[in-house]
Amino acid sequence: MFSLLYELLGGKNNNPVYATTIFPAVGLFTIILSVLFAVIFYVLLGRWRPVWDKQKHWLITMILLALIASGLAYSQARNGTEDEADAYMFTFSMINALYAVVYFVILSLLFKRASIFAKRTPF
Amino acid sequence: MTRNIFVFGVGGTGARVLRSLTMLLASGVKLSNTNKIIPIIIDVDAKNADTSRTLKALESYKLIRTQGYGDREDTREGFFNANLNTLSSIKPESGTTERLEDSFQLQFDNLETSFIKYIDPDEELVGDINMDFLEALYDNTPAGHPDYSHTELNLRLDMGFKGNPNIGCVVFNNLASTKEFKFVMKSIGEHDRIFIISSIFGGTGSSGFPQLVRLLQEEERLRNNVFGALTVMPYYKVSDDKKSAINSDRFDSKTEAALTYYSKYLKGKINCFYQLWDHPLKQYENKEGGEEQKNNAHLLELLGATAIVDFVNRSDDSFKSRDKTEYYDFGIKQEDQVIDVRHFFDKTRSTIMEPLTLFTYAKKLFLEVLPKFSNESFYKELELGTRMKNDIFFQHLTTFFRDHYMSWLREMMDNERKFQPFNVGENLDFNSMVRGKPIEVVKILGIVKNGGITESFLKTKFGVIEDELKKSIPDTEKEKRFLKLMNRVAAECFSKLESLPSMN
Repeated sequence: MFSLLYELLGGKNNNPVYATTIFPAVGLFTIILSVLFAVIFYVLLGRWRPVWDKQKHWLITMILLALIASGLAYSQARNGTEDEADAYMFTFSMINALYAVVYFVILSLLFKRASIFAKRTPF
Repeated sequence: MTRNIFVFGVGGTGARVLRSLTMLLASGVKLSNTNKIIPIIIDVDAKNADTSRTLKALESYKLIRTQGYGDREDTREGFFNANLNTLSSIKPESGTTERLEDSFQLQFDNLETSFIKYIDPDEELVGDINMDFLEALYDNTPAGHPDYSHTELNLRLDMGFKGNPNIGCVVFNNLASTKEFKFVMKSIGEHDRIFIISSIFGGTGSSGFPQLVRLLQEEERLRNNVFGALTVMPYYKVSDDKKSAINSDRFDSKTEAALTYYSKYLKGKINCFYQLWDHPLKQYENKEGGEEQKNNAHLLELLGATAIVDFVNRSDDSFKSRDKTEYYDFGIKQEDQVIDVRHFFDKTRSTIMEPLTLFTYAKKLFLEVLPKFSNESFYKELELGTRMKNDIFFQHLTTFFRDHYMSWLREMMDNERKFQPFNVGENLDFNSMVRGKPIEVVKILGIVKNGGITESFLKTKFGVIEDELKKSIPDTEKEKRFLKLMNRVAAECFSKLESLPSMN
């Protein structure tokens, strides 16, 4: 499933390690990471105190998640292929950042109900 | 067993005590076993400013209460919980098709004239021996004299009786013929209680009170109902004005005469008699009535309202029979020119001052804090952004807090004797609101460990409590949820205070 998602935007790579190892691992970790970020934002901080619950906080959280997701994809691609950095790795890291953002937006819609202070964030 | 309480406020003082009662009930002062409180203002001075602003406060209360809780009578806690309602909300047991105006005021007919024209509208008594008798009884300074319009026979009745109970008792005799009064008589149920507020040193109250008792007890059906009364003796003076019909030098003699009359003719008619007085320290401007008669709220009126709360909360078996009338005064711990929470005994502090403190916290939260919280989720959940501007409930709540409650509080603060329980300046923080007991900010090595009532504390409480209330009160009842929210957050502020200050 993850291969399909990544190849849809980035195209297929000739190195089979992407489809067999990197895409599933990065995809799964990105989802876990997004859930973790949403839980921290909406449930832990969002129910504790009104300190990190506004739209700007949500945006910063999302950018941070995108950066981590991008770094994760890049490092996994480098380590998995043991090749030098190339354009595909860079594209893959950008696509993964984009998917992390998409997951986070979807998870926000689900998790905001569980929050107290971020119930209306981002909208 | 629950019952209705009919509270008659006679004259300007009656209206002012009812104004204080409205504030106490808005603050959530608890009333036991009570369905409805029906305040009925009886004042012939149709334009009296004291009466008008009491009516406005009552109308605002009624609207807030109805929008907040509907016509439910099982709401027993929180701000505006008491079902303060108009006479027309009662459905008489005996059944009547009569429709009443939805008003807290009982209207007299045909008072837009002078006293002589009221008793002799067709001038049938001119030249008659009865006219000679009237002229012997009442001051009849001839036309053209500078004092003509103020003299008894020529007094305009729709401006009040201007300290003339001898006129008032004649007019009050006709009260029984008004459709509102007939409706009152039908509306009072077997277990309902009746309370009458009046002053003893003016005209309307001192003449209206005994007449009202007589008219009510003429009805066989009402003879077993419990009657309570509050008589306010002189507590202010008015400036000397020779052109005015009101002279405060006569207040004491009028009081003495009225008390003598009451002791004789009200014997065995009242179960509980509350009496209040104070050294008249304040001299008001001498205004005979109408729009100009706007006396500042006074501590004594608040204490008068506590008498009603005491009367309502008494159990049935605590009342003795009417021939053993019980008399009550109100005392404070220490004589002072400036009174605050510390001057009251424990019962008043817990039943009256604690709700007032919560309501004052709520006032501050509503007017000063909420506008700053427009980005908070609870604010958006309750749609306060649009509702504060467009919803009649929130408009009335704003008016009540800003115009009615704050004015009332400030007037008592500036009056004499001064009643200053709270520091209410706009830039003062919550921690210093209760006079005599600031909430201490605890710092360790310069770092705030406990900041008392801070913005962060309030944001947290608003959010957590709204989230909790949302589970039990649906979105269709957002007004009720908002009232509960304000009450709960105010209670959290009070918990930081721990208890009211006391006098050792």
